[in-house]
Amino acid sequence: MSAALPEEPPSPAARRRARELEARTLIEIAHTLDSSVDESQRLTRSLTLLKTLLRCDRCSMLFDADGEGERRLLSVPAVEGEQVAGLEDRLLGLLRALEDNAAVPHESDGHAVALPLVGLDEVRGIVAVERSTDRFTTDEMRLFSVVAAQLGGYLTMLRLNRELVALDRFKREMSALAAHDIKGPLGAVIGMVDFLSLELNQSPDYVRNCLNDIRTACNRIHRVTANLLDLARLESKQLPLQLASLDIAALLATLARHRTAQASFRDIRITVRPAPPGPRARADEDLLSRVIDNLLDNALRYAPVHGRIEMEARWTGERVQVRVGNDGPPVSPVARGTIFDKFARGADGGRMNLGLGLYFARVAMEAQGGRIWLEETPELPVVFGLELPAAATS
Amino acid sequence: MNPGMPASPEDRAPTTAADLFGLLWRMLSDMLGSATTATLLRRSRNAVAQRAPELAELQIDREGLEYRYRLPASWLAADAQAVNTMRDIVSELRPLLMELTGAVILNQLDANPTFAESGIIFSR
Repeated sequence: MSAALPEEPPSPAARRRARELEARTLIEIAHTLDSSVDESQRLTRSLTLLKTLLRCDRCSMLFDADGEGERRLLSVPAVEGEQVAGLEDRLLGLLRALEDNAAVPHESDGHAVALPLVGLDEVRGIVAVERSTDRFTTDEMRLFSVVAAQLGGYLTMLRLNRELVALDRFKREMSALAAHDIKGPLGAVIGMVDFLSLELNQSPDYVRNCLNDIRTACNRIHRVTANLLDLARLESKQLPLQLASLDIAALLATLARHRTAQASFRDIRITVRPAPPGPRARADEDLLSRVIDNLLDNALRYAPVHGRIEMEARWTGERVQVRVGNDGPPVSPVARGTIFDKFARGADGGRMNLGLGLYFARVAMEAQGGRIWLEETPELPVVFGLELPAAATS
Repeated sequence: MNPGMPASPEDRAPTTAADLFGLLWRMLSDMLGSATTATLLRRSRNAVAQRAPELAELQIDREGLEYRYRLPASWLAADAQAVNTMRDIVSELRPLLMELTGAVILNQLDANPTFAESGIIFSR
């Protein structure tokens, strides 16, 4: 009978290779958790990599992704039948011992080790590895703790992200609700102002100007509430679009005409090129009208007295471009970076402006397969550009 | 005692509960990471706190990038009661560490003579 030869310690080269493999696996786990696949795939692949890293038979984790007490079990390889309950019970026992100071279960045979998944100082779950051959070493525990920290951080990020999404949904619903409740009474006010304007058309100028100012302010509030309502629908993809072939030059001319009185108060000249008929784009008429009207409103607010606003539509290959420019002060480089963001405000601090107009314009253009941008030309310091798909020609 | 000269056991200042806690923190953090260490030691503290009111002063908090702990004032002096409380904490920690990590971490802790000299044995 011959005695087994003692195992030779690994050579320096073998040790170096092992370290390199460990480092690569840890990096791969970090990339996996940072990838764009869904969370189950990320976690399952991370457990698979952990299984390779620690040469173990099984890796599993029990965690509460939503923070609502419903725990999920993931295992690589997957467990089935009675094994599920057994594994879940063991991990749950450990988790309760950690979270609630419950009694520590006594089931370990030394071949399975586990670590809490901690993030932002809270236990988010537990991860366990099992190996039927040799026991885990201190160095392996160190590696295991690094992976547990990565998983804990990822679970924390998931939780925070879910909380943010829920908060954002609540905020949008509340905004839409408020906008909806304002819209009805506001419509009545506008109707009454129109009625009074007719009744008092022989009144002195200051009375008619006053009514005109009320109507302008009401229309602006109406636009803001409509933006809020449609934004909520656009963001949740619940606004059905009525895409049709539109004469863009005709649309610009109509919108400019509606603003003639407002522009004349400050002697601002609005020009539209070309005269209809012009290029035809495929767009939702109501949505596009509101986008352009928002740009026009913006231009009227910032153009100086005796200033000018120029609106133009033109073909560019299979797209149609619209430009709405004014000779007001240029937008600062800092503001340019955020001008299309929600609640971005202009230089006037956003008087009667919730910072939604340009954000609405961006979302509405993207919903129609278009885009919006800001540019500067030698003639006009502020030019908003829109681009839409051209309408198919018969 | 001259600096640089090895101290005899008689010369050495008695190990305080603060020394023992600091050593335990460092060794566990090295092997399991500071977040896990904080979780385990907080649990052990909570379990012992009912019978050792001074543990209300033992705080383990995350401050910025790091975890920090604050110890009861009595732990900084050579105080037999404080060391006893530290032993109680280890008694609470032991079964959880055993269940979570097997004997590997407990054996490493036992390999440090400072614990044994203070009557603290992990793998009991």
